[in-house]
Amino acid sequence: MQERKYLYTAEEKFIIWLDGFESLTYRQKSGILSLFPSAADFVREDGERRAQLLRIVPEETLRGMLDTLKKAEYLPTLLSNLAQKGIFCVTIRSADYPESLRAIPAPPLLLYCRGDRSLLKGDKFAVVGSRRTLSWAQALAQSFAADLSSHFTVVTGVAEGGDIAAVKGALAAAKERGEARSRLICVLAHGLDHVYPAAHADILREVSARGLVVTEHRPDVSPQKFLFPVRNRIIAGLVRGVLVVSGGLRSGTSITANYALEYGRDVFAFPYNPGIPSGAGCNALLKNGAAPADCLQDILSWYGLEEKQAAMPALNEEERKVMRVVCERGETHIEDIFRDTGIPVYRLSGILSGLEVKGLVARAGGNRYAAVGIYSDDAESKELLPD
Amino acid sequence: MIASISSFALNGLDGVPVTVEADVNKGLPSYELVGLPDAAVKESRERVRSAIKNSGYSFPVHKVTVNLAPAELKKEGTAFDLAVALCLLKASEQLVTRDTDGYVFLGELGLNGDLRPVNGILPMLISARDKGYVRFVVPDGNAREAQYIAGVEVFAAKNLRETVEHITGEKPLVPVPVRSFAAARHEETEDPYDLKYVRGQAMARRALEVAVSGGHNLLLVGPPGTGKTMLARAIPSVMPDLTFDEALEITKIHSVAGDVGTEGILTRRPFRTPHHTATTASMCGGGSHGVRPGEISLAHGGVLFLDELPEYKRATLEALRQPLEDGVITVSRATGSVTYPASFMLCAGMNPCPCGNLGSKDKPCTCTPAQIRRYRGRISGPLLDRIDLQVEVDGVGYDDLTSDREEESSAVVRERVNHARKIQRERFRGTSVRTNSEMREAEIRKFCRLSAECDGILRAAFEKFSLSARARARIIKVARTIADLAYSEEIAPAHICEAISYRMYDKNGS
Repeated sequence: MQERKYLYTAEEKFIIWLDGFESLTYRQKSGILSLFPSAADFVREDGERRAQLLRIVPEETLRGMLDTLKKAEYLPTLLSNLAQKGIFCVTIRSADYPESLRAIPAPPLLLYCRGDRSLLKGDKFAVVGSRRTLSWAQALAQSFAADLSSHFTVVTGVAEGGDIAAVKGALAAAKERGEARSRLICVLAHGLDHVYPAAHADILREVSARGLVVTEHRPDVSPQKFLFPVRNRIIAGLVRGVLVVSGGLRSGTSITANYALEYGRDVFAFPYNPGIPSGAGCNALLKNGAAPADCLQDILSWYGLEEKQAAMPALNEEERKVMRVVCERGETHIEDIFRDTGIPVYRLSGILSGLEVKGLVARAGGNRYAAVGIYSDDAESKELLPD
Repeated sequence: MIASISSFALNGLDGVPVTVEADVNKGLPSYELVGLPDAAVKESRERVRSAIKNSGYSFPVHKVTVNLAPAELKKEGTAFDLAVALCLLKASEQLVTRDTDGYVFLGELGLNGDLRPVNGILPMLISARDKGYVRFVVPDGNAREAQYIAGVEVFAAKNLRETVEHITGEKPLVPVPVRSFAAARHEETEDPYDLKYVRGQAMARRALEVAVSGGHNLLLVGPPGTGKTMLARAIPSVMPDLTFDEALEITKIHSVAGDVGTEGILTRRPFRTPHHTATTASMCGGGSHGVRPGEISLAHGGVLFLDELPEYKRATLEALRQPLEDGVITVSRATGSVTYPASFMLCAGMNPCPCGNLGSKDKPCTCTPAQIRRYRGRISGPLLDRIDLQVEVDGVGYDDLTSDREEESSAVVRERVNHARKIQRERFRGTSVRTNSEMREAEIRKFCRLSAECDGILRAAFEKFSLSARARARIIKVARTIADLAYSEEIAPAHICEAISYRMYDKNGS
């Protein structure tokens, strides 16, 4: 990768330098930062400074830290190592550090980023889901993320299931609109040297090329279980609202939603049928006052936005018949569709895969199909209208 | 005195003439067998000695040398026993006749002189006939195998004495009557694995029909106990009837392996289901005693069913790729290389995930996405690419199981399959391609023109499911078969859509 030069102010360099110490905890780093409103204060040589610092960090650590200041090449090496990896840093004292994130308790002091820096500005909206997400919910999350990305920057993770569906949706939407960049931010729970899950390496590379990848961890930090819930506060902190597409009662998405509630963000959730474990968390959120979202307009009208009316794909008579059955029955086995419509199964499988291509149904496994989103049958509603 | 007798050896599926020579000389009594015999051939000495004595003749008490010519060919098995015994009788002048000329003798001897059946009689007889031999003596137990070959005289002897008496003309045997293939077919009992016994499963039945019609390979994905095996078992019953030539070719392979059934010829297409612990050698052919046909050759003309596909050893599965393309397998060993036909329909079964419940309505799946990916990753992409149809098989409800509704029988489905095959035969006349699945790029361009609408659907699917170029070609081939089944010259949008629905693994992006 070609090394790019990133210019940092003295304040920013100070935080990058500070974050480079593995042994310091978040509390210690933020303590040091609050002691020294400006980096110049820190460099000042006096006894008072030392006494203050010793209250935060042990003497040995402090000596190590101060030693690095004496080495002329220490900081430039640190910065060029990051730059070599295409990583730029946005610190809590940078001008474009997102205000909404700055306002949360324990905001990340430093964001290691790769991609399009300008995405940090502007309105953001999170689409999150658990790793176990039913196929219809994935398809729906994908289409929501696609449409939301024309109004907001979509923020999510890269886990399997709901998150990656949102990523795919936002990437595809940008391609469809012919835009070089995607309004998409992926927040990772580990350093940028790693990819988790490894299967998503390609897609993550695409995000850093066309969107933005953000983490609060140094590049070498490997993925660990306990880092993921901590990461979720950044997702909730960045955005105006969160759409929860799936999640059990105790899942990572419910942590994100709880952060969002705590920070006063808007929380939306897909409504689920009772008894679906991967949707129990969503329903619990709805009970606690989250807004149900089963069509995009539910979210957009909340913000006074107008949906660009996408025309329902033109369907023929048989396709409409099938859609009606699938919508009425929910997750439906292909042989039940046959019983209701009388269309032979081999034709049905063709019709259903055509509808799948059009994004109206999703396979639910075991030859069952579920409708994606709300299907409005124009022809039918016209029939019902009195003359 | 020197004597010689004709016999036959097997090299793969080809019979090779072997001349057994014996020289009985004065000298200290000894017995030397030369001409690259394997252990079983060397042991023939004891069998031959006892058989000769117990048949009322005497074993020469001289310096005996037996040679199996051509000497550079490795000889295996027990089929030379009879020829060696006769040769010794001739060389020791107990059998004084020139009538052994023009005969080919095959058979294993028991200690009491009885003739026991040997493997590979059919391919040896066919090769021998083609080389101009017309008269044969074979063990009685092999007679049923010999009865379908016209233009030869085959005598079935029960023991050594009968053979000798036949040659000397004391008690001539009656040649085995020639039997027609139709007669063998007539004996056929009803296939216990008929599609009419498969309840429900409309999707899988349809996929099966399409697969057989176009010679496509099939993957059945479903939780344990949903009827994957039952469906697969029914595949031979919907395949086109065997012609005599096909039956003969298949029986030749099974004859080498020593199983030709009660009729002496296979009247049904083979269905082979090797266990997933099968080694690569047992699958493709090989083994320590010469090169035996493997499961894929025994499945030639029929179905190779691999249940629990991800459990097979990766190397074993990868070895299937080349025969799947070529229809033959060449097994090379230090002792020589042999080519066996291996043109089979591959049907594989697997669970959707390690716990088996993914997509099941009642039981929750407890697998993590990573586990599922690993499980599916055990089947390599190139192999999956050769399986045109992937279909889910799901549990059948109690009502379906108990309903009196008569399901469509194999015979009805076979009718449609035969028709679709006929269309394909006419389409590919004059080329090496026989079925839609064998089409290459040139044929696809020629015979599978897509209308603008079809192309639009395919393009949308291509982008939506991020399909590979290979997957696209497979979809078009399957669509061609679906169109053939619908008597349609053009590939219609509905055909393309249906073909897309049979690529479930591509669509999931895994």
